[in-house]
Amino acid sequence: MALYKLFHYELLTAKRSLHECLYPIMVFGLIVTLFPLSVSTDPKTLSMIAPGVVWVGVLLACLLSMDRLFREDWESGFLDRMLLSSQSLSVLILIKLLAHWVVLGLPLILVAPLLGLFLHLTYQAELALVVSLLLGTPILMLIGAMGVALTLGLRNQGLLLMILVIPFFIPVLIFGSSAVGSANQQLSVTGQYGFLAGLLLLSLCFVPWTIAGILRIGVAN
Amino acid sequence: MQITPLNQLRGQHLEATLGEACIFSNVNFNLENGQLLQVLGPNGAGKTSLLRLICGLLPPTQGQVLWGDAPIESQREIYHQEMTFIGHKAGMRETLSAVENLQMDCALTGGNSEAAIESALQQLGLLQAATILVRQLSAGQRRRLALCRLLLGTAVLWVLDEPFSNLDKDASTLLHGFIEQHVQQGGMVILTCHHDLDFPHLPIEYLRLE
Repeated sequence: MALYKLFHYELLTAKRSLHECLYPIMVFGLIVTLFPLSVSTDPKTLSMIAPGVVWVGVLLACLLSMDRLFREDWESGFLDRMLLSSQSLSVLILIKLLAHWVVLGLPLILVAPLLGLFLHLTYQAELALVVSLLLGTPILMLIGAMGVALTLGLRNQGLLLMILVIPFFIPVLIFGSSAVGSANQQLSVTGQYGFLAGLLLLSLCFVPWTIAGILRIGVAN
Repeated sequence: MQITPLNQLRGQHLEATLGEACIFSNVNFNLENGQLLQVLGPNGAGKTSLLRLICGLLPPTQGQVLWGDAPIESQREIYHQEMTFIGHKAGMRETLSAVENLQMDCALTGGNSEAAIESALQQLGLLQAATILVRQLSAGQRRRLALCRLLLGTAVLWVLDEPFSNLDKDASTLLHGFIEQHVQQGGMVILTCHHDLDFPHLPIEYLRLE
């Protein structure tokens, strides 16, 4: 009950600053529309580069959205209270991330197939895009949150975050875009789904706990 | 209401460093039920650091803080249930209203009803401002809102960093009352404060940081 309440207030906090949540989605849309304009308008070429383009767009949008994850709470002192709560810190972090994913991840997943249409993705590829994003975006956010926790309170946090976190996004990017690419060529994609699901479970198990540790050290400094 | 679980907070040979510089070293104190401890010292003496260390937000470079017989790190969840910390920053979400913040706080600490929240807001004169976003509250009102948490929690130990800052005279009198009542009921209070405290009926312990 208490945890549900916390989730509710996390959502409410995000809702009150909805414009900030829209920026990453707009950036995502803009990045993807740049490609038909700059590369080629040929449907065949576009559908070939589409998986990579959409996935890189999602990756950058996720990264942009992460910036505000802990910063406000850190500045207002709310983070201290999370650390001093009698609830487990990793559970609190998981709730926060879940709300973040609902507000930022889900809209990205809804917008992605639309952008896929611009890029002439086939129906199967659109389906693979949605499934791979459903599995992949939570991983991106979990890893990104770890980066945010590490760079909390530093100057140039955004840039440092990118340098730290993007290398760890690579496996997700490879399997995600390869799933969409394979589906586009009517090949089987269960392998890629398997890898993404495995990565998701692995990061769900370890990352909240790691972030809790990082935040405890970060707040102490 | 008498606070029943007898307990004891002890700091042993505490040392804190900031980067390379040592802020304070070999600080010892002992606090039992029904005691009030005021931490004194000039600016930069490490009062805030000491309080954060007592809460468990800052690990000491040496020494330990004991709650009962065990170090606080080994019983974090129990300790945090029995302790309330109010720091310099109010720790309130700017985009939530006063009531919503307190409800969220109750979810974090576990328990308490709508009625208790309303009564706390009323006692601190915030009932009118209850549905206004914290972003729009004044510094004094924010401070009052943070103090509501003292009334909502069931904590034995209150750790208060400059609780009187930004408060007007009325609120300051109220807070004196809360602290006095809490200590008389067997609670423990540690606070930092630059002016003399006005507790004619309470013995105050002092801890001086050089």
